[in-house]
Amino acid sequence: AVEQDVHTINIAYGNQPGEPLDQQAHKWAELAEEESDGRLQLNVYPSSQLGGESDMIELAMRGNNVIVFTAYDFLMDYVPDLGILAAPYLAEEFDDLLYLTTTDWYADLENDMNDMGLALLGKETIYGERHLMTKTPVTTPEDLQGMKIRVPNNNLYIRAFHALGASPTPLPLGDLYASLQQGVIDGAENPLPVLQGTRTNEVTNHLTLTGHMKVMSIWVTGTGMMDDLPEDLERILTETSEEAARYTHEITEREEKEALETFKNEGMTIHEVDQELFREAVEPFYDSMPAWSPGLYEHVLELMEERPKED
Amino acid sequence: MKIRSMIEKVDDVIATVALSLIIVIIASNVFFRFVLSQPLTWSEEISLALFVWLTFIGISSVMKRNEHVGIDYFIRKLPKKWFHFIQWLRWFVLILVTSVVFIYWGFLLMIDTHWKVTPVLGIDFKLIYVAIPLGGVLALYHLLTVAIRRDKSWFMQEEGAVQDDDSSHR
Amino acid sequence: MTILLIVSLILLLILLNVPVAYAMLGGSLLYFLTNDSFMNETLTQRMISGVESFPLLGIVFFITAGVLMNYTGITRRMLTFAKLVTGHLTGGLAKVNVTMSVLTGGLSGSNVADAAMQSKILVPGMVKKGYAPGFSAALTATSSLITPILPPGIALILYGYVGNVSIGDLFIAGIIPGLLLAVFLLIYVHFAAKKRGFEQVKEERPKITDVLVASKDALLALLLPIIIIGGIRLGAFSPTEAGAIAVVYALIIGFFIYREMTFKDLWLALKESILIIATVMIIIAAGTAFGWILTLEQVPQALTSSITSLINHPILFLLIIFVFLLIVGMFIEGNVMLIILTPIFIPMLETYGIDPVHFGIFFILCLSIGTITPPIGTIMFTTAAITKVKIEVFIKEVIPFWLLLIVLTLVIIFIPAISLWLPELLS
Ligand code: NA
Ligand code: NA
Repeated sequence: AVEQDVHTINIAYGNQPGEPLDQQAHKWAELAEEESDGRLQLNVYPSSQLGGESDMIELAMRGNNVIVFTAYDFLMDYVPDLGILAAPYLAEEFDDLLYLTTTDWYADLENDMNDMGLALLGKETIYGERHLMTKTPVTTPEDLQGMKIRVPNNNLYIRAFHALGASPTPLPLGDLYASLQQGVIDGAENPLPVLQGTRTNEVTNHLTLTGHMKVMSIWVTGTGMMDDLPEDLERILTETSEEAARYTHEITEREEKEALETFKNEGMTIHEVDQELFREAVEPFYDSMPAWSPGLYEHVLELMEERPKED
Repeated sequence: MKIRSMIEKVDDVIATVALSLIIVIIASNVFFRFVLSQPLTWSEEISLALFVWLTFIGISSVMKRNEHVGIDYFIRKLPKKWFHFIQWLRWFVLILVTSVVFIYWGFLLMIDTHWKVTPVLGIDFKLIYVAIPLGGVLALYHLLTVAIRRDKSWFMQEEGAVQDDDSSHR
Repeated sequence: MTILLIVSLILLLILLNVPVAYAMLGGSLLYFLTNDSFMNETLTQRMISGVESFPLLGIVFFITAGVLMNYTGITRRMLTFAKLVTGHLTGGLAKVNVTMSVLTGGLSGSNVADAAMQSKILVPGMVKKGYAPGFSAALTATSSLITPILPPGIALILYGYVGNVSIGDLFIAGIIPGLLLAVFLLIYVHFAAKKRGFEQVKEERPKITDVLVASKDALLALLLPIIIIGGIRLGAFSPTEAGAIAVVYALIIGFFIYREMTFKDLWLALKESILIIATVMIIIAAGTAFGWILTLEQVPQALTSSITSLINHPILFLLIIFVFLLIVGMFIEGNVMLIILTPIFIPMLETYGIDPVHFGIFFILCLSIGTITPPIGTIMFTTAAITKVKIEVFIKEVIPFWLLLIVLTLVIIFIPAISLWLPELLS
């Protein structure tokens, strides 16, 4: 009879309804319910309804029934080396990053997470490529000197934009629009659909396609909660998390194209720049992360070299 | 005797000092940013920590004066005996919530934060969250003393004895 | 444990005179004990998350600034100024009462404090001049509702914080509706005083020099709202920092300019402030925790989908919410409703294309009406208790004011520009 019990799981994230990630969560809920014949029920809570990211991770860690959407830069607080997966100009393409999650190097870090009571799901989630939107044109790193750019309140972003010569200003995403409007900051960076969602294009004029970060994301929950699930449900939950992640790749890509199209039509000046210049400028960043293991950057580059190319 | 009068007043003193410090810190930050172009990076986290102290210790100050906002409109229409009984019931709910939510669960929350520190100054969150069980213990002290004294202002139906309903969007 | 049972328990506890915050915590406590998805101390964690926020720190400052007004000599000078400006007109003292609420409203964020203070310093004088005590109390109660709408306002901060709406925009949006309420009241008391023959002996028209002297005295205090709004608008400081500036400004005026304040006054004012702050904050903390339970149980989600599928016109939606809030507002404390209902309303606004700033002003005005409505109107109780007016008498006298507020709310509903024109102009 126990096998017939319905297990309800809460999924929490900060993104708004309709965003690709929200679609991914709903897809996941649908797949999990389908494959478990209704024994897994996933309740989704968008817009930080259940609380902020760090509070939710804390709850997950202590074994509460919640799965939280987060990113590797955030997980740096727990296992520092994971942060490199969000580092600027690390990989040429997303497949390189996705490959990294299949390596032994990643498995070791995942073990460290497990030891802290956190389990990882949906490792194939892609959040998007981050670009720069500003009030005045930026075509080279020199143009960025001293510009106040809004970044997430996270060491990785702050140091990356320091390295680029900008003056990184951490602010909540919700304050972005007003801060640009009032001239508190000169620009912002994020994947294009997020820039559109926050209406950043209304208060800036220039979009520079820096592609400075390719961001993979991840769902975390407590190992305690995973252990409490019957083994077959644990497997279904894990598998469907990856299935839902792959399902969203296309949506994310499409929405990025659509956002770019909208910006063009609205008369925003779009700068296709030589990303190599920015890549060189950001180089000092890799020496400025004291919490990382020595030689981490070189090791990860080597690993990506080893990726079996398909054709 | 002296210790008792100290306990009676300590909540007011802590909360008032916390409020004063918050004012000084945030105002200084505005000054530092404008005049010296050098914002105090720690001002936000310190003032939020003091805000938690102000709130949870302040709750005891309010309990001491029996001024938590409630509605006595309906029970005032009841016979004296019923009124008296409901006031004891009310007292019991206050004891229960204070002991469980503030003291016990507040203590658990505090010891669970063993790894959490504030971003700039690295203050241990234990030092912030300890205000919750501490405020609870002080409030519990006031609740128990009114019962021991059978404080008329708590349990009898006297004009103006039960709290005035007095707060809305303040 | 069904959520309906928890809600019923909370309502029962409130009826039994358990303080509102403790009633919510009592219900939430039972919920966590009977729910094994989340650890019990999550309740306490959600409570703290309702306190640890920088925007809400603004509440602390504006409460303190409001209290300090009475200790620094600001209130007295504002009264002198208000008397000189409107005291000699028909229904002079009634108009002074309204003017005072506008003046103090620019500094203070709390209507209860405003109503209590003016019940003490204005109503006895009005009664002496022949005003009906019930009328004086009802006017004091109603005009105090200007305070939370005129910036700064605690309700504006709370709504902005919970609903993720710009507090700066809300502050600016409140200016015209707040002044409009004042104009409505001035017109009404003018005719009421004439008809009922209040204040037969009028004050003499003041000499222009007296007005100038009083203006100079009051000017310093009147400057503050301009500094606050200007500073927030220019992005020079956040609403929270504006609050700290308001407190420091009041202290400088009290200690160095009017030189009326002593350190003993300061200590008393701070002690008075912490009691108000803690009373408000525990309601916010408990409301946040209970609101979290409602969200976890998908109550807002269910309400949103059923309401948006039933009602399809924005005006109809606002009118239905209006009636709903008038009824609920008679029974439930305003801050609780702001915390619980804001996350429920905000997602609906997008469906109807209603600006959240416009809705916020409407929402707060609706909640204000509940505070002067029986059976449980907090402002009604406060003014009636201090002025020693019987509740029955108060209710009879408050009816025209109540109708006035209904009309004002309808005007605000139908003409969004009243709330939105100024923020758009200044942006
Ligand atoms: Na008034
Ligand atoms: Na105000």
